[in-house]
Amino acid sequence: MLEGEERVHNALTALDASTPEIAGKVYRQVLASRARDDVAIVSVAVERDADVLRWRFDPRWNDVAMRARREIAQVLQDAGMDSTGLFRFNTIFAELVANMIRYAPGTAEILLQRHDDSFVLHALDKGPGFTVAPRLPNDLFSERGRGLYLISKLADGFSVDRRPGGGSHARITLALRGETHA
Amino acid sequence: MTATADSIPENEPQRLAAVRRYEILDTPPDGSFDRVTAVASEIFDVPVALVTIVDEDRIWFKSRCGLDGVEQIGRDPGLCASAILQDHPYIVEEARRDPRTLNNPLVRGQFGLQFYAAAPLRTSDGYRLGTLCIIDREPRMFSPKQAEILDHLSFIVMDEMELRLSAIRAVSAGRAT
Repeated sequence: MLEGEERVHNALTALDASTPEIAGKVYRQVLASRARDDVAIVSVAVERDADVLRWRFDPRWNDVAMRARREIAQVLQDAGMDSTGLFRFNTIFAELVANMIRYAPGTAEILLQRHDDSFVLHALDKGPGFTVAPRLPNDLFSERGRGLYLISKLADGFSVDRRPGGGSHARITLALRGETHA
Repeated sequence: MTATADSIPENEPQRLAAVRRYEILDTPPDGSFDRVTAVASEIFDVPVALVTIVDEDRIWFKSRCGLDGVEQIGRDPGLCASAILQDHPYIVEEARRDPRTLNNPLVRGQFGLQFYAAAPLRTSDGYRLGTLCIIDREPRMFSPKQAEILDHLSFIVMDEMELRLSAIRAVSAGRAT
């Protein structure tokens, strides 16, 4: 956890047992629609909030990454995502994990944030950060650059930022219904 | 406070005798154990890895990678004490939500333990002396494959303890003659 987050975390957890509820209220009222990622992280660091689920694992271990994928897919399916949406999610997740294994050693975090008609998948890693290629690499079978291009095409929204403490933070929007997808 | 009844193995007197047999309690740090905890910390990407011995009223740390200034804790908090009740790895992925651990002082208190995985250190005659365990302050998912590797590392720790015991016996046999 970042130093600032840790201070917030310590301050909130020092309050009392109802802290998760307090944190949830602050999170929902102050940042009603689109929470900034660092606030989302703090919220789930305090306690898994009703609107944000979290998976933390080492992507190098295939079986644990697959388990995370199944669990996330289940949440999406329970929320009403159709098979096309789930297919898009599965492909995006596989590309994300492949990317993490190649460029971001160590533990990664996936946060799944629920909005009214969409989910935002946050992928946080300790890698050097990456840029999204605007088009496919010339060699279609090249592993490099293909994954992020695919993600950007399959997602309803995709951006990548550097994290303040190092590593990168990818945000992937997945609409619950397919109509917003170009 | 002593360990709660449900965290005490049935064969506790014999198990404690086995712990004494290895003459390892309160011995100085040892590179061979420290290497195993360093490797465990590295391959599982966790901040803390320990070799623990469960004594009558305390958990004593033979090796502690990533945990300075603490040589032992009371047996009562019960993580390692619980881990030695079974032959296979004991895993808590999210301690604050796990009924086995949510009231544990290590989980609720300052230390903020959230993830714990331990493989028991098993002797050839079936006693579980303590654990090789890894700890994180955040929850994490742990796979069967990872648990298997932790288990293999615990065998390396145990081999090292058996070697140590053989050396102790050889030396005392040499003295006797």
